[in-house]
Amino acid sequence: MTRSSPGAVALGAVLVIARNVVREALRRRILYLVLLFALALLVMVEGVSRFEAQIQVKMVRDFSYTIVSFFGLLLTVLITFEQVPLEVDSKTIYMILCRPITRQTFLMGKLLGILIVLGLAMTIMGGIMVAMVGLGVTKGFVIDGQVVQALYFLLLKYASFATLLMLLSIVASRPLAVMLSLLIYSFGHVSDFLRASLTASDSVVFPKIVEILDLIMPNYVLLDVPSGMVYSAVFNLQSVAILTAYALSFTVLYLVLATWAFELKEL
Amino acid sequence: MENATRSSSEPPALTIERLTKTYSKGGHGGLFGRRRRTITVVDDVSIEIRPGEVFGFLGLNGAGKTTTLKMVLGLIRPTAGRVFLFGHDAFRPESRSRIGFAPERTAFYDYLTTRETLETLGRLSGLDRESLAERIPRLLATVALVGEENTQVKDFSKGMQQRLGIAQSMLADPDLLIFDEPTTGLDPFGRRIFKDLVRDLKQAGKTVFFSSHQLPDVQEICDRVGVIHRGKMIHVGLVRELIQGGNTLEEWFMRLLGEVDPSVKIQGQERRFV
Repeated sequence: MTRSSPGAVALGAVLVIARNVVREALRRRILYLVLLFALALLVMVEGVSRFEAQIQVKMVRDFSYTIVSFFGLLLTVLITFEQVPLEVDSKTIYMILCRPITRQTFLMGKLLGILIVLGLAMTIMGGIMVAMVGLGVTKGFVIDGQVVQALYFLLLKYASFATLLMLLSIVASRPLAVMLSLLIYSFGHVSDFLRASLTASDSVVFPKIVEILDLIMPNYVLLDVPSGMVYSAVFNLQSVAILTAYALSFTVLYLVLATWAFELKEL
Repeated sequence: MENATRSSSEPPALTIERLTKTYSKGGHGGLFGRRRRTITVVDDVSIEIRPGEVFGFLGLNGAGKTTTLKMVLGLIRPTAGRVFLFGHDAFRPESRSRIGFAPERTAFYDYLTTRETLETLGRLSGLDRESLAERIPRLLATVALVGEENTQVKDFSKGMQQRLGIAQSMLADPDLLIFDEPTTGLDPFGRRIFKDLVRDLKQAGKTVFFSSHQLPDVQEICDRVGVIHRGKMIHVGLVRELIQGGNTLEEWFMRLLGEVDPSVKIQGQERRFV
């Protein structure tokens, strides 16, 4: 019988666990959700057809982004919030962790699997958009660099959000984890406004709070590219690299915290 | 069964040193009815299992058996004490490369087939494709699940799932097998399979450590037993010595518990059911 070296076992285990997450998502037909996306897209295109052609293009781009964002977020919540708690509750985790696998490896495998499913969903949603353009359903709307960039940044955004949700699902009940993560996600989208309001106050405490929040919560507004999609602003390679590093740093931070919390968890 | 021993230089398969686990639980009383109290679930337990030995871990429900097993597997951390697997700290993941474990209520991914389940778990044990292709049919034959390779595990009966649980524990050909209540939910056929399997494992020089309530089975296949009661290890001894004089292990077990804890004493003669 041939066994792999410990390093190869760890890497192999990440891939096996990730594959299991993807297999579960496919067999449970979670990705059918993107069919609803296609339907929403068609309804939207129909809804804006009465506007002038130039406005139509802008509206289609803007609404497409909003619809992709919504379904991406919904999918992230659906595939992430039960990943760890369900393994613990059903005790399937016993058969994994009684093997030479660290808890960190387990979580990394889960996260990789979630990202693959999300990547797959983004690709399918992008594909549906391409198909609609090809069929002439979305008049004047073209899939260009901005659209691809927007989808890429959405994926980065959902990577950090999924890791945050995974962390919270380890330390809190499922409903609470979902609510808290959505709260933080929402805060991440209004943090510019909040930052400006709190920093402008006379208090010395509020600016400090903003500083701390900036360290532990991503400013998701930075990763939003609707303006890029609508007004054709495009990020250069350097900006893409910086924003990628920014988003990944939060993903890594949440993963480290999740690992720490999971190590302490009594199974 | 004879007590198997190997070279004295070989470290024990399992060493449990003064293991203690306490939990803080919410109770009644206090301003908000949440005054915490400390419960000792496992209390200063020590056991040493020699390589090649079949050891039965006995106790009533809630005695601390599963908690002890969980600490052995690194699933929960002890409040005090240490566990070694073949001389290595049990909390290091690599120490688990020589063990196999089947939990009491074996749970599987219901969307996977039998083969996919064993392949997935085998890969997590570091086995390559060739090894798995060779091992899986043999293991399925051992637990009488031949022909069920492509059946989804959710369609299995409880007993079949239990047998699959035993099969997955042997995937990596481990030297120490740990079973938590392995015969719970098994019909007489399944129990026979398990007992034959343990005998074969012992023949092959493997060590088996399992908790059970099925005392006739334990009497049949174990070299030694340890009894845990209210978290404390109250007896460790050779089965053949405990059943001397025509006693069954069950009679000895109930007598022992009655001696240490009058609340579980059975007054057989006075009991009337009709």
